Amino acid sequence: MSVKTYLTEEHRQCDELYAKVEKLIQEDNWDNVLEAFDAFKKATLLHFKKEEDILFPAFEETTGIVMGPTQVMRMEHTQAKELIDRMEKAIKERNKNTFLSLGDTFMVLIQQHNMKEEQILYPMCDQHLIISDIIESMERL
Amino acid sequence: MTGLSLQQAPPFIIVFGFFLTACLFGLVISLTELYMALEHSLFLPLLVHLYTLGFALFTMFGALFQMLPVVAGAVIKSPKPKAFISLFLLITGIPTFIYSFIFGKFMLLGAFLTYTGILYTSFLMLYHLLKIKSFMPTPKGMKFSLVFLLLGATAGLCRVLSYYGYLPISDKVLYFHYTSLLFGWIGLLISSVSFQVVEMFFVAESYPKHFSENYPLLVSLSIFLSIIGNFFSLPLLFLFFAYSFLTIKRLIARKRKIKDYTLYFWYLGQISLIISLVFFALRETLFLPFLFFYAVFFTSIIMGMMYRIIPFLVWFHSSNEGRKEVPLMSEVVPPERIKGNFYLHLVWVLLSIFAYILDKGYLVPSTVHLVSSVFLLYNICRGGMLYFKTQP
Ligand SMILES: [Fe+2]
Ligand SMILES: [Fe+2]
Repeated sequence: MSVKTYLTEEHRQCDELYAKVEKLIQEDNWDNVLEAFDAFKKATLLHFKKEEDILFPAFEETTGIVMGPTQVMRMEHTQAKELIDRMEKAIKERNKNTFLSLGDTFMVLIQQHNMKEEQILYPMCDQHLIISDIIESMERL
Repeated sequence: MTGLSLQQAPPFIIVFGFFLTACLFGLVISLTELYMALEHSLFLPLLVHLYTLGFALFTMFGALFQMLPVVAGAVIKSPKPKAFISLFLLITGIPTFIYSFIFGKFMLLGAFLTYTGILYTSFLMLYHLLKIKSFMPTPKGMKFSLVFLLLGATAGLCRVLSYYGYLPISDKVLYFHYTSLLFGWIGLLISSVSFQVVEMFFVAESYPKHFSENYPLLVSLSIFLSIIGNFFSLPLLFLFFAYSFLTIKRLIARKRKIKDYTLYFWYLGQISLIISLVFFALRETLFLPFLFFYAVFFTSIIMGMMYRIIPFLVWFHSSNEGRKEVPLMSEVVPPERIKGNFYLHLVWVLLSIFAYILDKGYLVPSTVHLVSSVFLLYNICRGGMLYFKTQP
């Protein structure tokens, strides 16, 4: 399997987990929101961790590009994490409009982020890195 | 691998400049329609060029400046002066060209300036797109559509030259001019972008791989085929119908069920595309309805996209620059205003259809269109200004 296939699949899973949260909130089904949100948050943060701890360092080491795309990706992860924290707070306060507003911004941020990874960064990784080892290490996280 | 950095999202001012110009043209369009309604006249070439050159070209160039690094990793270095040259040529050329339609003067000058602007911008983008090795459907479709822009604009220039008597007049050239620009440039670009955007932003199923990968080439071939004659335009119609059908199907089955009015712009655009295709088949007698519904197709999708791109960019750039007060997307353009603009746009479409059937009362839809375009201009302008206001 390629890094691209493996991590793109995770992107889609996170999207679906998010869609579930949004749907529950839309329906005012607050009792089940937190649980769904936790699943979404956990999956997203784990995905970020796989990239930040394993994929990006390997990319930087092999290509020697340190201040390039990986740096930008890390920055966007930070922005995304901040939005996730604020979304969680909005859920705890049962503030529907704030959540939806944060969630919408989060979604666009993460989609353009994923686009850049899927179209540019992952294919580069597949080209230059020994991917079987990397996928194995990511699986172990 | 040099020069590959993902952070070079172009400065906000570039996209904003292009979008704002387009919205100003939107205002000119509706004022022109109002004037024509008052005068009981219709001057189609003027109106068509206002929609395509004024509204579509500016938004699509602006969006391409933004999207090239994101979807293709094609980074245009020092984009500001380049975008400025592009904007300068087009902002001087297009109004001059439009002016010549009304007053019959300066057509050659306007056409040459516009053509130079198109040549410059599309070569700039093609150069960056061709440098990167990507076989993904979206960048591929962008390349094809830019080539059609060049071909179609060249055919347009030939048309102007024959108007001045430098070239013989040919109906085939005219046909190729509008078909390659409407379907090859506008249609292909919008569909190629959908291949990426629909799946990701609405959390929907991806388009069939064979379809999106072969679509640009098939559309290109079918455009050339359609030159032969009416019957041979069927493959072209079929391809766009398939695109529209697949898109609507995906939008309906999308996983994100949130009430989002940009989605309604997408639906309206896709339905109008299907209707316009029917009229295209009957274009010998029903050319005007074809143009109308095709315009509704691309203006709706473009408006829906603008209402996402501008709020996101205001948030994104402000957030990247570490501002204190970073407005969320819904604070840049509140959803109620997007909803309001959608209904204004929809009412304009419906009333225009009624006016066409009754062949009277064009004043009403024109007035609604004026309100709608002022509202769009206001929303984009006010939203964009938020970025400049929060600048330290
Ligand atoms: Fe990432
Ligand atoms: Fe990722």
